[in-house]
Amino acid sequence: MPRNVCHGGVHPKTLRLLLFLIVTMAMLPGCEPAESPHKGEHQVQHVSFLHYFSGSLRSGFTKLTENFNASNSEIELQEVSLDHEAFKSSILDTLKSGNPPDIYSYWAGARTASIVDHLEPLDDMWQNNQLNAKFASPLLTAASRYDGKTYLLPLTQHLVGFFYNKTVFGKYGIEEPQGWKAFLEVCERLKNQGIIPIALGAKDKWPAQFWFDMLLLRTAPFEFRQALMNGNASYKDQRVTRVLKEWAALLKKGYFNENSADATWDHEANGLIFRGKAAMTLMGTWNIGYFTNAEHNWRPEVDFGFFPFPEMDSSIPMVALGPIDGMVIPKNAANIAGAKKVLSYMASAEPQELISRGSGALSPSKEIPAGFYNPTQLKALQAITESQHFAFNFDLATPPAIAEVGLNAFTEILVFPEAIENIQAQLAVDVEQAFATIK
Amino acid sequence: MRLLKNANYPKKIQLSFTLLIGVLVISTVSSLAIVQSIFSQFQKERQIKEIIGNVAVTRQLAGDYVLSPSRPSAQLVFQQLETTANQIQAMLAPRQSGLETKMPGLLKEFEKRFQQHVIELDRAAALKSQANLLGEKMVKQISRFNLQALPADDRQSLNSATNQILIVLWQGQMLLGAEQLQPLSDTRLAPLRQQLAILSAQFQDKSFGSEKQRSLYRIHRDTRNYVGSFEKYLHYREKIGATRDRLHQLSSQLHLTGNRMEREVQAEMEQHLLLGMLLLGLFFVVFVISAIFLAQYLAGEIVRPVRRLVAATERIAEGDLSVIVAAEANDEIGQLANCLNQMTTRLRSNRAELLSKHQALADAAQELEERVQERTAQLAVANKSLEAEVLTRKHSEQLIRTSEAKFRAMFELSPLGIYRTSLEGKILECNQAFAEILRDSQENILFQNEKILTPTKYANQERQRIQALEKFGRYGPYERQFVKASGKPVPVRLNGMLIEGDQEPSIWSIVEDITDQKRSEEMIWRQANFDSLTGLPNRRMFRNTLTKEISRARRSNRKLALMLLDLDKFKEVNDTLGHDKGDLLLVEAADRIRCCIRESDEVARLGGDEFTLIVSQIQQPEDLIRISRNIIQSLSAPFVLDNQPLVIGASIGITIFPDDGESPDKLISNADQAMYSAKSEGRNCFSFFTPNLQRKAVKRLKLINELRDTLANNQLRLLYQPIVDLRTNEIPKAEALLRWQHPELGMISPDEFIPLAEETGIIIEIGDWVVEQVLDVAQQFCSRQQKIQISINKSPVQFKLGSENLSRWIEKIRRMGLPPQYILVEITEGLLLDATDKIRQILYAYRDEGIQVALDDFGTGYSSLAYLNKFDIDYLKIDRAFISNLTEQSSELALYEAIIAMAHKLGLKVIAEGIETAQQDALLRKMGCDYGQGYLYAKPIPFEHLIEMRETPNRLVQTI
Repeated sequence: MPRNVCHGGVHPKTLRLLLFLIVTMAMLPGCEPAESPHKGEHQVQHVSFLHYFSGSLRSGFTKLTENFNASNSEIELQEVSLDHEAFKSSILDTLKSGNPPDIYSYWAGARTASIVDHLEPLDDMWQNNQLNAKFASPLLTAASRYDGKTYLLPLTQHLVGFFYNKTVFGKYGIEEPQGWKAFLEVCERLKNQGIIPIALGAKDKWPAQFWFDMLLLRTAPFEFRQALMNGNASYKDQRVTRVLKEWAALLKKGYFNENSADATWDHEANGLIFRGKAAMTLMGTWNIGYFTNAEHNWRPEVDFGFFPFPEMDSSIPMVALGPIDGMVIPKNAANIAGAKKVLSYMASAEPQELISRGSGALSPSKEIPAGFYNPTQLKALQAITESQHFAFNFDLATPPAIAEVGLNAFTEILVFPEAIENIQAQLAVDVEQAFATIK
Repeated sequence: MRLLKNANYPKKIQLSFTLLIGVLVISTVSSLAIVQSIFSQFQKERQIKEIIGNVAVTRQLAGDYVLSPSRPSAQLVFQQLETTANQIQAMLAPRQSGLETKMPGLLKEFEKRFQQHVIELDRAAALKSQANLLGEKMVKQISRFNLQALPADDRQSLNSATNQILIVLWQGQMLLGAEQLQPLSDTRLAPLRQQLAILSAQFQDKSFGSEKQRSLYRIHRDTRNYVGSFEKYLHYREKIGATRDRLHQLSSQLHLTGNRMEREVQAEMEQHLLLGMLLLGLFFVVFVISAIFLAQYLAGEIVRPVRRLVAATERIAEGDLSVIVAAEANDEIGQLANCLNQMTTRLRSNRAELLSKHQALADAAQELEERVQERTAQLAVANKSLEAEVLTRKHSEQLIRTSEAKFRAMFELSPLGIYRTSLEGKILECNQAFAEILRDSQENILFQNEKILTPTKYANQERQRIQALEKFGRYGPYERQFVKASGKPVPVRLNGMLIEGDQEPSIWSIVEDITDQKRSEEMIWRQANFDSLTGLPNRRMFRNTLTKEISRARRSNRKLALMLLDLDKFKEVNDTLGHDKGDLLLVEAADRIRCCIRESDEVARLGGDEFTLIVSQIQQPEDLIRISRNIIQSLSAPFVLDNQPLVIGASIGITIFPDDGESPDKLISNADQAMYSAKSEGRNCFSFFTPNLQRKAVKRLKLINELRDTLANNQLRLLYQPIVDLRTNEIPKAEALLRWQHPELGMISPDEFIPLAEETGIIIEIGDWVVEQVLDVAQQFCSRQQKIQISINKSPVQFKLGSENLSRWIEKIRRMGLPPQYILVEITEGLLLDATDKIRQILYAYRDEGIQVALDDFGTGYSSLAYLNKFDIDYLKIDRAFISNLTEQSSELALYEAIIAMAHKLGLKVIAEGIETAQQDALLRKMGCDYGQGYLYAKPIPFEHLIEMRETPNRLVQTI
């Protein structure tokens, strides 16, 4: 009976539930501050790349950047394009400033040699990626290595040679000349037909240098040219005299277009070839890009042909000429590790092919099969393989101050072929002075 | 639970408390964890603020660099960028939210563009110096030519070619020199290109061969490169502009991202806080509930046996004396049960005795019942008379109902809103008009509390209303807002009365919708206080605000700045493009200014192109500098009107309360003076009011007053500075120079008082006096048979205001019979720049009269070649500023040579001013300069000394 009367206590089950609730509640906020790093995600690094590529190659690089960024979640590559002029004049300042971009494009040869103190060696990256096997030739080694260390990853290998209008040659039954004598005959025949044998547009000065370079490399030993470029030989040398005489002779015979000193190399000089007014022009493989672009739409070895500069003296081994573009990393770059990753990528087959397609140049990488190239590029490849040496063109082979003096003299020769003696004498004096100020 | 049940009381209590403390401990630990989480959130907020601060510094530094580029300042930007990037890297590494990852990317992009900007600026500078170097080289080469040695034909063609090159150089140097004033543009390059084309044509039809021709070829090539470097420079300027725009864009993106990050962090912070509070609250509730449960349980354990005892007691009380309580335990309550059992036994025996006494009481009750029935009969009679009274009352109620119907009609038809509320505010009834005011239906409104119609800001008024109702039985009228059904406020006028009827008392209120009235009041207020064009406060509003801000600043002991801003070159825009365009420009300018200031600052338009800015919270003066720079920078960006970019600028005067003054008038006048000073410092800059400025202004005012009396008081004097022929060393000319001999201040420089005289127009009077004097002096020379040419400086103001006087003195020369060769008029380039027909006519009048004209201060202004040709100028006076830099090493030597050669080509003679050293004299002679003037030869001297000097020419020659 007493049990019916009294209802004071809490049901045991309710109490248990309450306890459970309290404990659960207490656990809940405990989790909150321990909110921890989200594993698996990481900070994106940025790598900046300053380059001077323009035209179709520029868009090639935009594509490359996109590809790289799409396949790399850790690094974002950012590219900036500047023109040659700004690039040349300010690279030293930005290298010294302590805040350069992470990667530069640059010309292999004397120019890279002049800034090598400010560059980061790439040997570790080279070894990790076994690039020695990919960039094997002695030439590429020379383009990459300076003072015993690797500093530059080659991107393009251009070759200078003759580009000609196949229709014009076909019309007059002219074959690609073998040897200098045959070349002179071709010129004479073309001239007699009212066709300008050689088109040249030296408004920007540099296109004229290939004539000096090639005539010298075909008539004088490679070592002499190296000495000349380094200031260890004089421009008064009779081997230089011979080159200038040979050149002036071609000019005096009227083999060149009249306004060669004032014409532009692309629109005007190449335009003469394209329209069939002129037959040949001495130019680098970037001309392939010019003739095959949408505006001209010429087919290699169908509409235009290519042959290397003919042999002039059988005792002189053949030397190939052209610039090599590459990539370098400044010593003061903010993100050297990231930059090296980008370079590792650039050394692989996909980007090397893209660059070759955009620039017309051969790819420096051995991985690219010959089947990848168009017929003109194959001819260039053959010419390079058959050459004993590869030389960088005049303005990349000699220091900039001397290059300027030389380029001025070359354009002057185009206007005053009669005055080569005086021009040579003046050139010798000016170059000597310029070397003296550098040393 | 079982454990508790079996334990005795102290044990039970102990266990319960242990449990409670357990809950408390868990709550405390969790709370600490929450506090820790909030704390770490605080820390994060601080770090993000630091980063945003650093980003702001970066933007500021980059802005500084854009204003005045230099390598060190670029370096600062790079360093700052690196610091900021590292900081972000360190802090954000473990976190990954949208904005925070965007920031490093933006910074990198900013760095990249900035680098590009620096490179492009370098390149532009290099091209500029290349142009200068080429220029020098070309002049050297030209001077090397020995024209005399050539055959006549060659000489002529070479001569004309070199002249063409000189013109190219001339134009090039002028373009570079004037670049600050007029940015290089494609159209400005056109003459240069044209000149080059002429030159190229000359070279085309020649067969070259000789050394001379090759040299000429080189010069031609250099000229082409020279022009080319200009074109490239132009190209770079465009690129720089584009990069700068991109930088600007990135900078604002950075700013925005920073702001957004800050907001995001704050929101996160709030979330954390809210969650923390919620959890803490929950713990508290859990704790309280468990405490209550335990307390109840404990109470139950103690009270249950007691209750059983009470129940037994209650049954005893009801009479059931058979109850026996069983003792559960032998504790205190068990003993109590035993006692109760003994007590019931005793009660049973007493009960029988009580029953017999009860019968006697029942008889007495019967008698009382009979008395009550008698009284009821009496009451029925009284009830009849009451029924008659009820009838009378029904009649009065009929009357009340009629009155009620009348009131109803008025209530429903009234255009004013009427409603009745209970004392608590519940709306008991309302009319249609009231519902319409609230844009709601009567049904919805009824039985709502009127509080929901009243915004909380009227709490005070509401209290007054209740007091008024209590005291006077009525309230109002009040103006306030009601909240409409849509939630929007509606302004109303409200009054009401407390009516205490037979029901409970209620409040009747009448509501008038005063929206229209308020709107027109607002419109009138806006028109009176705001500028209709820009929407900014106007002068009146500005004055009110300034007065208010001053008293606020005084109360809180703070500083306040007043900035006065005037657009540069606005008048030109108005004059050339018309007022419509001017108005568009003002609106845009107002927007730009608004964007540069903080929310707490107040900007107003005083009228015309004058704006003011009240900056009320100044931490340090740098704030003001930053604001001013931002405004100037923003206003210097081109305005696009009619698809045409237009560059104006702004000058800002700044004054600070209370340092510079305490009253609004004083502050406005200070700011005005400071602005005036900024303008005179070359526009597009700002200036602070300083006591020095104040002194200058006072002096200026004093001078203006005294200037009016100079002529009457005979305080002006003319001195004559000899001009030497550099070929013969004779003195064929002298320049008349004005001096003011002030009785207190001594000799006052013309640089100081001529601008004042021009401003006030006194220059006309003074100018006439000067002409009179000079004509007299010339007459005296003439009568002594001494040939000399005296030059008179003419201010542009004289041409503009006093043209009649000028023609009058031509008349006078004729009357005097003075040969016109005795007079030379010096004018400045500014006059030619905006030469009106009137000015042109005067200049032609001089020419027709045979009076020669010299162009003064050449090289300091626009230095245009075109004017020299157009206006028949005879002499070019190269400004002293140029000559003072002249040394053998000066890089401008080529420029001087080109100027002199060019002037000669145009048939002008050149006078060099301010020659002080023998080296300058020698260099100028070498360059073929015609005349020299300066302290090297003679200071300005009185007329008598000049006569003396000319009569003894050896004196001068000895000094040279």
